[in-house]
Amino acid sequence: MFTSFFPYLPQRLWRAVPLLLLASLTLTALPVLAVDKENHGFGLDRTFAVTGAYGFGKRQGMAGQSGLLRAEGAGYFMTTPMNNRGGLEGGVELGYDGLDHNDAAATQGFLWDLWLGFPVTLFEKQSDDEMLFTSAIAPGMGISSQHAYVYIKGKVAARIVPKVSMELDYQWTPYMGSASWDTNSAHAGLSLATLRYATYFAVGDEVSLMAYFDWRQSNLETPTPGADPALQQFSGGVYNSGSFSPIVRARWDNNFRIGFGVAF
Amino acid sequence: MERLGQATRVGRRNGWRTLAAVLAMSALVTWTPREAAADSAVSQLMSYSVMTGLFMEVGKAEYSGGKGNPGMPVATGFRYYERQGIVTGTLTAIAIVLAGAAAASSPKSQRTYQSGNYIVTETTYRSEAEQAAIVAGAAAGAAGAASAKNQSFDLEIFSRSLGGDVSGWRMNGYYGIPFADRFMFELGMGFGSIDTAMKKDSQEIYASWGYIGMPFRFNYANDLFILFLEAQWNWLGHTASAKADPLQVPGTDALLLRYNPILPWKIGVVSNMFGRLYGEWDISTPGITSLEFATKATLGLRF
Repeated sequence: MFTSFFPYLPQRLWRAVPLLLLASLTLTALPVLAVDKENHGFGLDRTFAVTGAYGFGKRQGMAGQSGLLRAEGAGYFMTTPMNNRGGLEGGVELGYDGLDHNDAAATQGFLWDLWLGFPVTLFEKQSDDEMLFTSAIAPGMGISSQHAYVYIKGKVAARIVPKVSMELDYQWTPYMGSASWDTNSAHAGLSLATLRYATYFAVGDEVSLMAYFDWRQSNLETPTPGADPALQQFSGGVYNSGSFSPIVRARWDNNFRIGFGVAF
Repeated sequence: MERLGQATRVGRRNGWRTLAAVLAMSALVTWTPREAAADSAVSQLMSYSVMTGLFMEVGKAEYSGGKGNPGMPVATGFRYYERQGIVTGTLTAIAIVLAGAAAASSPKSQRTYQSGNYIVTETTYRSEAEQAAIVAGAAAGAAGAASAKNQSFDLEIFSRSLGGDVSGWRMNGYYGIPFADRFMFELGMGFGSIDTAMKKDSQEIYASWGYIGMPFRFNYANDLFILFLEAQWNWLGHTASAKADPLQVPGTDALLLRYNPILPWKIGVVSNMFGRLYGEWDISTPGITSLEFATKATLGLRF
C-alpha cells in the first residue's frame, strides 16, 4: 500500500523510523534555530516541546488506544510593516496504535505524523516585559500514517498568572485537503478536526512543564458501493449530502488524548 | 436527482454565513491598530505581508467546465496570500533537498549482460565524495531558494459549505523580479484540483479541473492600489482534456465536463485604501478567444 505512494520507502515501516526522526529533527530545528528569545511561537514563552501522550476513543481507519511521542516547535522570525509576526511551525509524532485494537494490519500498529506550517500572528497584547496574549493563524501541510493533508490552524495563548499560561488551538483538515492512503478512490478524503488545550507551568526562565488534552474528530470518505467507477474517478471530490454522490461519508469518530511533557 | 437540487438551494441559502464572516472581519478591522509604514501600496507589493480572507467568484471561471456548462457556477472559499514571505521558499527548499538526497543515493550506472549461463547485472554506486558533492549542491540551492526575498504564495480553498457550488483547492508559488521601484514580474509553479457540482433546469452538471503549471504575474503598484495581470499556463491542458466536450458515462444522465484550459488570464486590482482591510477584484477568462468571463472578489485582513 505505502510503496505505491513512496517507491523509495522500505517495505517494512520500522526501517523508516530513523528517516522520520531525522526529518523531525530538521523540521523542529527550523523554528528553534531561526528565532531569538523574543519570538517564541509555542505557547507564550517557548519554541520547542517534547511530550508523551495516551490516546483513546475511535478514529477512522484505526481504532483504540495509542501511545505517542511528539516533538514540535514553532517560532517567529519575520515582522510585517504592520507589526504582525510570521514564522514556522513543525513537528513529528510517533506512536503505537495497537494497545487494544484488532485493526493493526493497516499500519502494523505504527503511527506517524509529520507536519510543517506557517503561522502568522493576528492580535497580540504585551506588558512592559512579557507577552500577555497572542493569537495566530497557520496554514500548513503534512503526511501521516493515514493521509497526506493540508491544514488550517488557529491558536490563542494567554497568561493566567505570571508562571502559568494556556494555549488553545484548533486544527482543521477538510475532506478536499486530504488524500487518504487506505481507500481505492484517488479523491477520497479524511477530514480531521482537532481542538487542543494546553497548560504551561514555568519551572525556570527557560523550561516549562506542559500538560494538554486534545479532542479530535475524524470522518472518512469512501466510494459509494455500486457507483460507476468512471463516475467515482470523475468527480469524487464532490460530495452531495442526501443526493446521488459517488462518495459516502461515515459517522464522525471521536478520539481523545492526554499528554505531558517539557517545553523549552 | 431532484434531491441534488434541494441540496444546492440549501447551499445557496447558506450564503449568509459568508456574509456574516465578512461582517465579523470588518468589525475586527475597526479596533485593529495600523502602522503608518504600511501606508503605500508599493510597500504592500515590496514588503512582507500576509492576507487571510474569503472570496466569491461567479461565472465561467477556468475550472467550471467551459462552454459545455450551461449554468453560472458560484464559488466560495478561503484564501491565504503571502507576499515577500517564506512559504514558497521553504517548500522549494524541501523539494530540492529531497531531490538531492534521492539523486545522491541513486546508482550511478547499471548494466546487464549475459555471461555463460548467467545474466549478470552490474551496478555502480556513487562514491562518498560524489554523494557529498550532490548533497552539498542541493543544500546550497535550498538555502538560496528559502532566503530569496522576492517570493509570494497564494492558496485558495474552495468550499461548498460557504454556499458555493465548487469544492477543491489551488496554490501558486511565485518568485519575483522587481524593477523600476513600482513593478514586479513574478513567475512560479502552481497546482490545483477543483470540482463543481450544480444543477440548471433539472440537469445535473459536474465539472472537474486539474492544474499543474506555471503562473506568470505582472504587478504595478500605485500609492492606493496594485494592478495585476496574470496568466496561468496549465500543462494538464495539453491533453485531451483541453476540449470542453461533455463526457458520456453509462448509468447517469448527468452532464460531466472535464476541461483544463491551457492559458486562462485574469486582470485585477488590489485596494490599499482601507488599512488592514484587504480588497481584491478581478475579471478572468478561461481563454482570450473564449468570450467567457468570471469575476471574483476577495475580502480579507492584512497582517
